[in-house]
Amino acid sequence: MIEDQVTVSEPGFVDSFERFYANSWQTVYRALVVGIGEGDLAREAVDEAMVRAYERWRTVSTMENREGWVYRVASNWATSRLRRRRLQFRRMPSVEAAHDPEVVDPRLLEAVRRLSPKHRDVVVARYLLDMSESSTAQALGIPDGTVKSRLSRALVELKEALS
Amino acid sequence: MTLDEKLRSTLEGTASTVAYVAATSPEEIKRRGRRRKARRRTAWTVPVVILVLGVLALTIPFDPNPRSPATNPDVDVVEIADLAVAVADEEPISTNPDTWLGLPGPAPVFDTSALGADLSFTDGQPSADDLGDRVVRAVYLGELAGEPFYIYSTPAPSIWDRIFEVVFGNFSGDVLGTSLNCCTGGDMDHGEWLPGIGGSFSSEGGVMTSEVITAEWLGLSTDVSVVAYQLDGEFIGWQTPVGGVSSLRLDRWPNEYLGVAFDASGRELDRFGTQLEPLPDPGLTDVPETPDGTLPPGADWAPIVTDGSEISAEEIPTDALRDEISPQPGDRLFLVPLEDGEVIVLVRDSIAHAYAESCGVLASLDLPPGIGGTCLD
Repeated sequence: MIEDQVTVSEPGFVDSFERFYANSWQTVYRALVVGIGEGDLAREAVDEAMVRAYERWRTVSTMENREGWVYRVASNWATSRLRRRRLQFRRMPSVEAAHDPEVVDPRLLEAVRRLSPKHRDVVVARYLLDMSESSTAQALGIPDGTVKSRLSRALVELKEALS
Repeated sequence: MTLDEKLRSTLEGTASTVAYVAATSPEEIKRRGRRRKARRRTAWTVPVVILVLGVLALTIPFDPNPRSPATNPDVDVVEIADLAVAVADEEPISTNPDTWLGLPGPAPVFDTSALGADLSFTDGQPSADDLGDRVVRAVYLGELAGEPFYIYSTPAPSIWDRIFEVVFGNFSGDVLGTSLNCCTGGDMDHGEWLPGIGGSFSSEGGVMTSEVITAEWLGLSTDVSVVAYQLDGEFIGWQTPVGGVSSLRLDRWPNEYLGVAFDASGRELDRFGTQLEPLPDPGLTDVPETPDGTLPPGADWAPIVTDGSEISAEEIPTDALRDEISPQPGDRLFLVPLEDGEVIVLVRDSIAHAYAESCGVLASLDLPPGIGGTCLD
């Protein structure tokens, strides 16, 4: 377990970061894998986001939604990499076990991955990371209204993909 | 099952099947963070030393510390979100929203023909109609391909929101993928303005489409006169930045790209991209790289003249070359021996130009971009 690898003994700058790191790394990683479908890229992205979080820990540690911030940084970083590689939303099935068709709709998952990064981030934040609208807005740095409109558009696209 | 329920079930079900991956150790993450901070503090030490030596060798007037708009006390600056933009006058030319005119970089006085077409901003007239209601501050940079171009900010809904957007014809959006902090959710520290290729995407029928692809470079030094862009090995054009901002619209995603910033005399100040080797490779001297792998400013010049020896006007090997060069007081001349002949490099008013009897010999020198050449046969 991650928790075993870190020392959480005293309050303070380092321990505070380590605690956050231990609690959040897997959550953000899994959310990214769901969104972009690439385990290796997701791992790199989360690491990069965590390095940035550590560099700016004095600021980040004061945020209410630190996990959301890291997700946003990681997602943007990964998206940027994907664009540069011109391999948008390539899937890497090896990171995922077989899905239970009762639980996972493969067409829907594919449609989520085909959403634009902005729309996908909102969907993942709301439905997987379970963030409220305002929490999503804060994490993604967009107004509440934009969350609503992006979510609405994303849902329309997803509905169309399923129809 | 409603779409909401299906979405939640699909995403959670998928997440639960993502194979467990041991996280990178936090010590490694912290080590990377510390190393990055240290690199930032020392990144310019080596190039500055090299540059100072180069300047001493060449005795070319040169400021070894190109100043960004934010640090140049000689220019008026307004802040668009956290981006310092050099402006022609500190007073806005119009209000509601407050709009300033961007200050163009110095005009180049070197031969830019090797860099492709001049794709600089052209003069135009800003209009409040170009900007939406939410815009509170804007800097008008001019027209690009017949469309108005602004850098503007809107009120930040959270401390993360750093909005630097452009109005680009009918398009308005955050196409700038240039700042770590702007576009990846960084904190309040905006010391790093990164250049890059950015784009805005939409999805149509489940297929990703790109709307706008641009090469962007923000926060450029006020010394930058030319930013030249090379895509997949070919220079597609150059631009004089305005307000420290350079932006070119691209028609495709390049596999490889390079942006090079030159001062007015053609000296390279900075570069970014996927190709960080010298372009083209002068092939004469190994130029030490900086710790982050980029070439030090001026590196493209230095190999040519430092590999040769300075000569007087009388030592120009032939009358034909002497006539062509027409030496003047203040000129500096360098004779560069090559395998098949020799090249004379003239430095006049901080501009370098190469001369050779033989065009074949001149071609073998593979002149760096921005340095012109003349041959006689």
